[in-house]
Amino acid sequence: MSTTPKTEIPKVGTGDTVIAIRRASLWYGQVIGVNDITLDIGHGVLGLLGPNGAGKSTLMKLLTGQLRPSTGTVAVHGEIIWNSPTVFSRLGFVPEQDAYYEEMTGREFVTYLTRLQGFSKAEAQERADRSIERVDMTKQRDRRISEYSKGMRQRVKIAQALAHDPDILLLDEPLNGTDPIGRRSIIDLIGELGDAGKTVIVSSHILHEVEQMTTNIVLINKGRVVADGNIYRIREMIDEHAHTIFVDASDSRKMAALLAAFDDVVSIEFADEGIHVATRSPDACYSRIPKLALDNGIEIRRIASPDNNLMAVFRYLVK
Amino acid sequence: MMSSVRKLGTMSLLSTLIGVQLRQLLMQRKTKALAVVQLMPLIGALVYVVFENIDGLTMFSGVAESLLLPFLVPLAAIFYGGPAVVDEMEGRTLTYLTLRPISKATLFVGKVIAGTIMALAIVLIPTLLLFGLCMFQSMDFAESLPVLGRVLAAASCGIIAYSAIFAALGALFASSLLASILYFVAFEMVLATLPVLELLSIRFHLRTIAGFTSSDRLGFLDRMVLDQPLQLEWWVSLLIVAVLAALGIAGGSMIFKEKQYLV
Repeated sequence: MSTTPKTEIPKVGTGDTVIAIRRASLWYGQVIGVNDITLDIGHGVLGLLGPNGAGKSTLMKLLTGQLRPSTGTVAVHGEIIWNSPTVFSRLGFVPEQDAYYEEMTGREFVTYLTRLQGFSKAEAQERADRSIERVDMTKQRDRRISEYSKGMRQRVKIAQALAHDPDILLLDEPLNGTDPIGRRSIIDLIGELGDAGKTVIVSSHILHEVEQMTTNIVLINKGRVVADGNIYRIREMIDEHAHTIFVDASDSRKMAALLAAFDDVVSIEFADEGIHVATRSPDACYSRIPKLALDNGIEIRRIASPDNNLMAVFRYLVK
Repeated sequence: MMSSVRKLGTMSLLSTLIGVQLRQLLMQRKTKALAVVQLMPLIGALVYVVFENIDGLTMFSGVAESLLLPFLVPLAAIFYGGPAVVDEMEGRTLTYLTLRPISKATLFVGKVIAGTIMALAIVLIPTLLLFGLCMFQSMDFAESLPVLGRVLAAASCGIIAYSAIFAALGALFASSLLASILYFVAFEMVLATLPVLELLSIRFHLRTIAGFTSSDRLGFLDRMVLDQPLQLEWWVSLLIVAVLAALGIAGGSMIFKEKQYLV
C-alpha cells in the first residue's frame, strides 16, 4: 500500500530533496531488514514509525551510511552515503544503543566528538557547552558518564549530535528512558530544529510521541514502508478500512439501532459514555449522525474520531 | 562567539584522533596492568644487581632474547593493536566515530597508530630502565650501546608489525583476542620452529634485527633441509617486517572500510 502511484517517487517533508532512497533493500543473511524502499525526504521533522523489529533502526543505519544496501541506493544531498565521510560534516545522529565512553565526562564526550568534526579544541569545547546547555545538562556536564541516569545519558547523546550544527539530524528512539520533563524539552527541541529548516528524522515505536513532534510520518513494518506522508493524507487512504466514530448521545441505544440499519456500518460497541461506530464510509456517517439525531429527538453531546490519532492509523496499516 | 573554522583535512582529523586516543589509552586500567607486567624483568634484574652475580650486558641480552622479543613485545601488541577498532565495536561506540567526516581507512590507521605509540612507550621505557640498571652493574656503557640500539630497533619493529597484523585480524573477525592468540600460536610458536617456514614468523626476523644467534632454534629440524641454520642479513629482516606491517595496515584499512559492522 502506498499513498502515491508506483511510478511516482513518494516524498515527505518540504522543499528540495535532502535524502533520496531508491529501491533500497538490506538482507541480514536470509532475513530481510529493509525491503525495497523508495522515498524522497525533504526538510522538516519526519516521524519514522513502526513496531519493534519493523526495520526502523536498520533504515536509520542505511540513511547514516553505517550499512550498505544489498540493492538500491541511499543518497544525501545527491551523494551516495556509504563510504562518503564528507557528508558527515552536515549530519548528526543519535544512535539507539546506550553506548558511551563511560570514563569521560559528558563535556569531554561531546567535545571529543565535536573535535572530530574539524573544530579546534577551544571551539569544540564552546560548541559542546552550548549543545549541552540546549539539552539542559550544564549542571551535570563535568560528571562522568558512568554516573549519569538513563535520561541524562540520552540527553548527552543528543548533545553530541547537535554540537556541530548539522543540516540533517537522525534520532533513533531519542525519548527512550527520559522523564516527562526531559521528554517535553526534547520534543520541543526537535520542533525548533524542524522549524529552523533542518531535516530531522525521528524514529519511534510510540505513536503519541511522534504525534507531538510532526504530522509528517513514514510507517514501516517488516522492512517495508506501509504508508508515508501527512497524517491526514494517510487518513484518506485508509478510509476504505472500517473507521471508528465515537458518539456520546442522550439515548445511545436508540442511536445505535438507527445506525445499525446502514450497510456501511460494520459494528457498534457500547462504551461507558457513548458508542463506538465502525463504518466503511466515514464522511457519509459523519453527516448522517446529526440528521438522525435531529429527526429522532436525540441530543448529541459529542462526536469524536479516535482514528484521528496515529495509533488508529498505525493499527489499520500494519495489520 | 568564535569563528567557525573547520579543518576537515585528513591530517588534521588524524592528529586529533591520535591525540585523544592516546589520552584515553593512558587512562585505561589495562595500561596500568600491562605496565606492571612490563616492569617485571626490571624487578628481576634488580635482584641480580643486589647480589652482583651476573654481567650486566649478558643479563640485558638474555632478558631481551628470552622475554622481551618473544613475549613482552607481542603481549603489548595484543593489548593495543588488536583492540584498536575491536574495543569500539564491543563497546558499541564505533557508530560515533564512523559518523565523523573522516574516512574509515584513516580512522583505522589513526587508531592503530595511537595503539602502537602506547605499546612502544610501555615496552621501550621499561627496556631503557632495564638497560640502565644493567649498566649500573657492568659499567660498560660504550660497548653496550650498540646492543641497546639493536634491541630497541627490534622491539619497535615487532610492536609495529604485530600491532598492524593484530588490528587487521580484529577488523576481519570483529574480535581481537582469539584471532591474535591463534595467529601468535600458529606463526610465532609453531612456524617459528620449522625450517624455512620460520621466515614467515616475525619472531625470526626480530631476532635477526637484534643480532641474536640461532642457538635456541631447533637445529636438528634445520639440518634436515639445510646444511646450517638459516640466517639473514639484519636489513633483509627489517625490510620483511616493514612489508608485513604495511600489509597489515593496508589490509586492515581495506577490510575496515568495506566490511559492515552490526554495532
